[in-house]
Amino acid sequence: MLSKFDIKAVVIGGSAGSLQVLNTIFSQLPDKTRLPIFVAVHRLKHVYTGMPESLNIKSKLHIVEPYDKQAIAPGKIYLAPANYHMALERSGIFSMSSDEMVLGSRPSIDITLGSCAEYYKKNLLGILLTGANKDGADGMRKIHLNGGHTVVQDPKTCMIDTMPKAALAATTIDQILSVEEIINLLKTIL
Amino acid sequence: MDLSFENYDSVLTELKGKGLDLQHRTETLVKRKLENFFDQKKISNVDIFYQNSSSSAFLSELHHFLIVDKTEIFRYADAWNFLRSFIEMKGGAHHFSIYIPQCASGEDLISFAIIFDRLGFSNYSISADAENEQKLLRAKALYFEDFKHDVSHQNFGIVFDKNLFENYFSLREKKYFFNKNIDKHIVWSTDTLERKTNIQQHEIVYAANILNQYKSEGQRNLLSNLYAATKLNGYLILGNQEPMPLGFYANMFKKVDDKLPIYQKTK
Repeated sequence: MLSKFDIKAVVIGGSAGSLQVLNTIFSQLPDKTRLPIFVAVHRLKHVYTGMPESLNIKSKLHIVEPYDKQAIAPGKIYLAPANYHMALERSGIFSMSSDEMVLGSRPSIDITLGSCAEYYKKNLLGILLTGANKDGADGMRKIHLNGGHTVVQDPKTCMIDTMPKAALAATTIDQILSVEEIINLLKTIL
Repeated sequence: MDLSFENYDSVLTELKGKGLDLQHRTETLVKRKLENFFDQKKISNVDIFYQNSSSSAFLSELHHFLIVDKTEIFRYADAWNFLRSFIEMKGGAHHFSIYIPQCASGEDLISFAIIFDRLGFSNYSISADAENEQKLLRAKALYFEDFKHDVSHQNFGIVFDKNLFENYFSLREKKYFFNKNIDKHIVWSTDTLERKTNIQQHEIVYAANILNQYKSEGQRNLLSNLYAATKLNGYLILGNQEPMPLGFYANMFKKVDDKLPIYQKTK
């Protein structure tokens, strides 16, 4: 059983279909949390605005796009900006990079998940949502190898199930949950 | 043996053994950057890597690549809009200077310089420093890749096409160098703010997300130097959501807007 006190951060990845899922999740979370939540989803490279604004409409927690070398603060949802890899440094600050795309994507879900796994180790909850490629599978593997808790959206409930299925094939996934079950899990640990 | 993402652990061990300091970076990021570097250099074999790794020039270039990220200042729209209004208010008649401490890769000041040129301002100087000669050389190695996102960003307000690019850069020895008529505005130094004894003053000090890399005492010390480097009524720009450290020098600045991390030196 996952204890509230085991988890110090949540990281969520997703691609095709995940914006709707994120909207549903964020709209049902409380207005305060002691944790930071990191989100990396595939998005259009040259559209810089719109996604955080759209997610903020229903979310009680504030969704922001971090800047390079910004310090992590609890209680915020950090969304990887368009055309940027979002990673954490060992000193607890963000590293934003427009280095080469990974698996055709920038932001790369693997980079965000992997660096969070290294920083938070066993105290990380990683959630991979619906998506159309295998980005995120390696990041989930790193979360598992570092002792974190891994969750994928139930492929049966995904718009496109390639992403969670790739993670299931790549590593040990602790829980396969529907969107409602993911929301309930988050409510218990935030 | 082929060099692939799966066997980068031995590469990292070799690099750490050669004294490359990568402690602050997560391996996830370093390995991805290694992949990009090897791809660019067409290094696909472990033996070729080991041959190259005996060269200090190769190691130096690789180290820079691994510790410096390509970023873009013009995502920072609030700061840019403020700067633009400040410059337009000043007009072209009065000289103004900007200081960018601890410039890791050069793209901030290059982008500023291009913007000023596009706005028709030529009566300015930009001072930039990096903590050592290696980092300074990296900042001066002006790869177009380092700032192409800067100049193509919507806040830049222009389309940065091939013709415009050629106005600002020339290709020498496979590197793009900044055009001399703009480069003349930039003063490079390895004398960083932490070490400086004779601090010059500037109208604008752009120090986004530098303070938050220090612990509280270091922040206070650095803030006293940032205070010294800012002219009276000049502006200090911190990072978005980067708090002003508490203490004596914080009281010497006034926040110009509730939403912006821009502070005017009032005392």
